[in-house]
Amino acid sequence: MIKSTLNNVSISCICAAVPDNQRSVKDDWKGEEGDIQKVIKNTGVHSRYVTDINTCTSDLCFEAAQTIIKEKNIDPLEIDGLIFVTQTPDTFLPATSCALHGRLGLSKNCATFDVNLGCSGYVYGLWIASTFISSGSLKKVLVLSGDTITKLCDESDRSTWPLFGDAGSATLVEHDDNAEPLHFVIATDGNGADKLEVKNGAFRNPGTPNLFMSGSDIFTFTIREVPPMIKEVLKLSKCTKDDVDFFVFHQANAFILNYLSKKMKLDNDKVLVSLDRFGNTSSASIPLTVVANKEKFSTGKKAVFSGFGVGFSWGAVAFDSSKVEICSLQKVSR
Amino acid sequence: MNTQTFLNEIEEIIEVDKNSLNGTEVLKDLEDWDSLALMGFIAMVDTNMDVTLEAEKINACVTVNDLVVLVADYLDK
Repeated sequence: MIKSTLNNVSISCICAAVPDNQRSVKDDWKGEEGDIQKVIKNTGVHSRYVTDINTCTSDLCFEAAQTIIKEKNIDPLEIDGLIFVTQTPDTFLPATSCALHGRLGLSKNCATFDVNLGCSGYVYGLWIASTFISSGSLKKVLVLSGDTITKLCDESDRSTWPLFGDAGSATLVEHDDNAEPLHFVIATDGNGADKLEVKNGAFRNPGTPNLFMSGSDIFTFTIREVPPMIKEVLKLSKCTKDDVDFFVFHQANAFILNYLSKKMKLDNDKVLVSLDRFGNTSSASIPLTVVANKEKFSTGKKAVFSGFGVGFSWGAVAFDSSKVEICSLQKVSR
Repeated sequence: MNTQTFLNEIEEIIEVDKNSLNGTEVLKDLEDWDSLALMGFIAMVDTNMDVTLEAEKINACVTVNDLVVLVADYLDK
């Protein structure tokens, strides 16, 4: 497990956006009524927001980024880093981040690239941005993360279709001489690559892309790796779980979140949830959960974010959350 | 945990009557032995025996008794 403590970095603003199309899982289900009740009980997902064919992840992230730029009154030319974390880009090439760079009107003095990660992607994005800022290379970085996973789900697959939702997010990470250190732990196990995958549609296996998920393998991976990761990030930040006001986990599903909380003996009030309304939104799920619990999160001083899943890939960050500004949820219609 | 309580836990997961399993049942013939039950089973073993089972090993089991064999080392004799 990589451990990384980074100074002079502040996570200063978080925003999230969803397509303006909230769908009830029950209403969308075409199979047996009894089946879907059982699925809802386990996933905890009652509704999620679903994009139309013309809306891409980049559109949702663009809206979230624009909101931060306007509300924080930022000169777009000051932004010197743009990281787009997604597994549902607009195109194979160019990197969708470059197209976003143009749409947002950013300066040529800006490092811009995509990161292909899902469930752990938000924490990775924060880590990459923070590493560049802490090294002195960059000052003001936008981390855009999100996915429109519903486009990859087969409507007859009860393990994916009722679980996933679409969302995008933007987070401003900035240089700050007075910031408390950010403590990250980061890890990977590529032996889990085939447990959650879209095998077809790229170059190894051309064809129609479709999401496959082995829920039981993901569950085993999660209960094996996440509790030690949380223990490690708390140790790195020299605090205990009692010192943490809020834990924001990737919103995998309710069964996993409840079991993790129980196994780690976390106070349920400290574990924020959004998947009942939004589903599992991949790399947007952590910032979306913060935005969905805006008032509550704003009362805290110390937070732990933790992402885990596709890859297998996982990471966590413990940080001072008292200065984070949170924008309202944006709804995108086209 | 002894073998009987282990079977009772499985009965609860797949929502069948208590003491209705004798171990010879073929897993794929049990109506509610599905991916959700699999997660429930992994959680139950993790909670009660402090062992994280690989899904692959569970998938290799044919009967309920194969599950018993899988965790035999952790059951009370």
